[in-house]
Amino acid sequence: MIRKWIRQGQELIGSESLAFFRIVFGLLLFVSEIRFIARGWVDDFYVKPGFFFPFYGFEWVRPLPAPYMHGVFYALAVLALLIALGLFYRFAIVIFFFLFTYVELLDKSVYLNHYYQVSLLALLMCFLPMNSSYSLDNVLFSQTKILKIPAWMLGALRAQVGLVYFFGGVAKLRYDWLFEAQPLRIWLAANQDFPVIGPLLTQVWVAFVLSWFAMLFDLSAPFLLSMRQTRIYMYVVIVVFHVLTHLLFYIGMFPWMMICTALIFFPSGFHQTFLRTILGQTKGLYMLSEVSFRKYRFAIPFLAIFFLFQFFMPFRSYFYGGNVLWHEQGYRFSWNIMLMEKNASLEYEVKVKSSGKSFVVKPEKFLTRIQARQCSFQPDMILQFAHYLHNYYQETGLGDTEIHAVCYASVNGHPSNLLIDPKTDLALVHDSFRPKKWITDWRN
Amino acid sequence: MLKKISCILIVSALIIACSSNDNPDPVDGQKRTAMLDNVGTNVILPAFASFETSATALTEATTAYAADLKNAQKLTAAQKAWVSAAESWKVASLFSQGPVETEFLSSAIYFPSTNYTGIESAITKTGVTIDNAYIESLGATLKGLPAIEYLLFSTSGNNAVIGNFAGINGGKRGEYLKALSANLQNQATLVYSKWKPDGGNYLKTFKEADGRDINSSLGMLSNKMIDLVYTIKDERLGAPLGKRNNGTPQPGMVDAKFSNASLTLLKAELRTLENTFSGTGAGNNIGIDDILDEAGAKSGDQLLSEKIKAQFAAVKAKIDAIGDPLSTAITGQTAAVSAAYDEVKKLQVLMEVDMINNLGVLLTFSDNDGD
Repeated sequence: MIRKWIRQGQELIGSESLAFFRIVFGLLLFVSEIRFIARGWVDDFYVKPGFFFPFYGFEWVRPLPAPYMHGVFYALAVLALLIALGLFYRFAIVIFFFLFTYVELLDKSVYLNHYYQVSLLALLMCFLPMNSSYSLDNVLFSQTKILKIPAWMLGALRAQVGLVYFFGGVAKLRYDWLFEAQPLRIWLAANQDFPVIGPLLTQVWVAFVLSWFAMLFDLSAPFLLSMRQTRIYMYVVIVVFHVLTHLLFYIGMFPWMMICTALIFFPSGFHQTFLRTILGQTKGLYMLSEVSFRKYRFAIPFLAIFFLFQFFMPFRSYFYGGNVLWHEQGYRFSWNIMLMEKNASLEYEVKVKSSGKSFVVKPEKFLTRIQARQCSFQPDMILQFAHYLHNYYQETGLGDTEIHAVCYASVNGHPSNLLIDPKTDLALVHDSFRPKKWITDWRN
Repeated sequence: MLKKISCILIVSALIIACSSNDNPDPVDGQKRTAMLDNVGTNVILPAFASFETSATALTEATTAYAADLKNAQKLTAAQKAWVSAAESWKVASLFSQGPVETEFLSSAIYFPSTNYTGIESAITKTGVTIDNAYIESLGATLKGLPAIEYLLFSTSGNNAVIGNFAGINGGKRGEYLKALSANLQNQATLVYSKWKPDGGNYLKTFKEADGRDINSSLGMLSNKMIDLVYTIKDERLGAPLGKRNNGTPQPGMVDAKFSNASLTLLKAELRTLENTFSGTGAGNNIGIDDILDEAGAKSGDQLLSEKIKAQFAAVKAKIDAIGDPLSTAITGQTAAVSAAYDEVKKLQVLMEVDMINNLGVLLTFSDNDGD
């Protein structure tokens, strides 16, 4: 079996598959960055906030002053275009990976699973000769031309796209999702004004059918896409599924990204024909070079670590026990996609140690709207902001304070409960990967 | 190829089969439209109509008093008219989405801060005719319901009020009072006309924005409701209790401190919240509670809508336990006011967390919400 895999991985296939994926990825990200700039989100998310929520261990990643921050996004758009064109490809993809990841690390409130996927794909693409055909690099530097590539390169890209579906499906194996049809019940009913099918969306059985369908769809998608007999049908389902999610939910670029990147599962002959039809036969004869294994001897161990890491990440939340939707320890970077409707109300009780008197503060006073909303129900952000408040009152002359969070949260239609133990002085608590004892137990 | 076509056919057949599925009651499954229809027509529109009526009555009462400044009875009548106009504004103020907000109409009606010395100098200013045009030229801190309250009431009693009107500038003071009331009435007519079907007809816009995003009517209305619960908790009760200021009670921070109508107005704010939630009015009473029920929203074994209604009752009971005026109770009955604060906090959580969670409306501005 493994031998068969190794043999298959060494088989040579047309390099057009890599070119196809490179062009799709570059164009998608170009549109995505332009959209981000056009909507004024650079200012909204990275300039206006007076406080940012960095990721644990990445507190040193800080935003740049306003004009440079805008520059970063224009640079990302240009780099995405260079990637699509295959011009200075290696340079473009490496810088793109670092800049894109830098931006994502700035603030937790903007975390999205598909941004994580973009970072992972970009990292993977740093190690692959994606410019080996249909690229401007081929015109400028003829040594970049490679006619045939080993199949494991295509396999790596397929694995990266496929695992989003698979782990997205694993994450749906939850009581809420399968036996309460939540959060789909809430979200579908909220779409009751939808043309034609609107009234149907308030029906409970519809939510159940769609919940189970989505779970089975996610779990099976990478496999059915890999098999010749089922591929085209599965792809039709993928398009219908993602278009529907686009129409029903506000999920930005995610559906389009999945629809486009899933095309990598088609055989390399398809990519070849596609590029030939759109861009024409490339002029001149290809150098009949094949990618040498020696050149990629570092890529294989890297891939092993890369995928092992990704295999572990989605399961790390199980080490914390309890309900991950409630405590959110190990929630991010785990393909928990569209899994919860969570709302909370957060206020801090600040007790001045010198006088013993206390007062109430709402984080909205210090944060942007989207930050305040995200912070309200994510315990690690609640802790980060408590520390911010503690420093703020220290610096503004009030002196040492105790910071207690009064946070009521509700997940997937369950009644609200206190999320954080209000007796804990969060100023004394420090974040770590250890279980957060100051988060209350899930009680529903 | 044949396989492909049959597959597409099956998928489309499924979609059509689903969409043409029986839908016995057209109202069923479209509670949101029905709610917007009922709340718009039978809760919001009457609220603005009633504000216009009571503002007109206030003008009449202050005009009568301005013609007879030593008449204590006419003063009392004007005071009553003020309380009722202020109450009806509190009821209508929940519906600030649309014209009230986009055209900044509320600042001339009930601005949160009042400049008392500014009012005195506006009255005594020489070389001006005190009329509606003059009032229009003044800033928001010098007019509206709070300014009228300041002229009509005194914490030292009605003799002090009459004394003020009997002073050297008493006549001008009466003119200012009259002009303020007339201006308020204009504002009330203007706000109502913006919503009326034969006017600006924002009612139509309100009913048609039946989506669930932040700019939908339900999205905005639920946001406003949450804002108002917070206002009741933090501004009406919390601030005077000292919740914002190191725990030192500040009775001067109560709403409507001259008229001692704080509790009356607070109850009006609660009432408008509850009526909007329940859709209470002359119509079919379809409110947000019915949307929650349709969605099967529960809190434990209880319907969430019932739990929220019970919480409204609990808040009312605690408010009723506070003796008038609130400014005295802040220091005299601190425990009772704190108890009311705690109940409002529970109501705020139920509405902001449980209600919103089950409505599935979006309260942030970007589609960056999901992935």
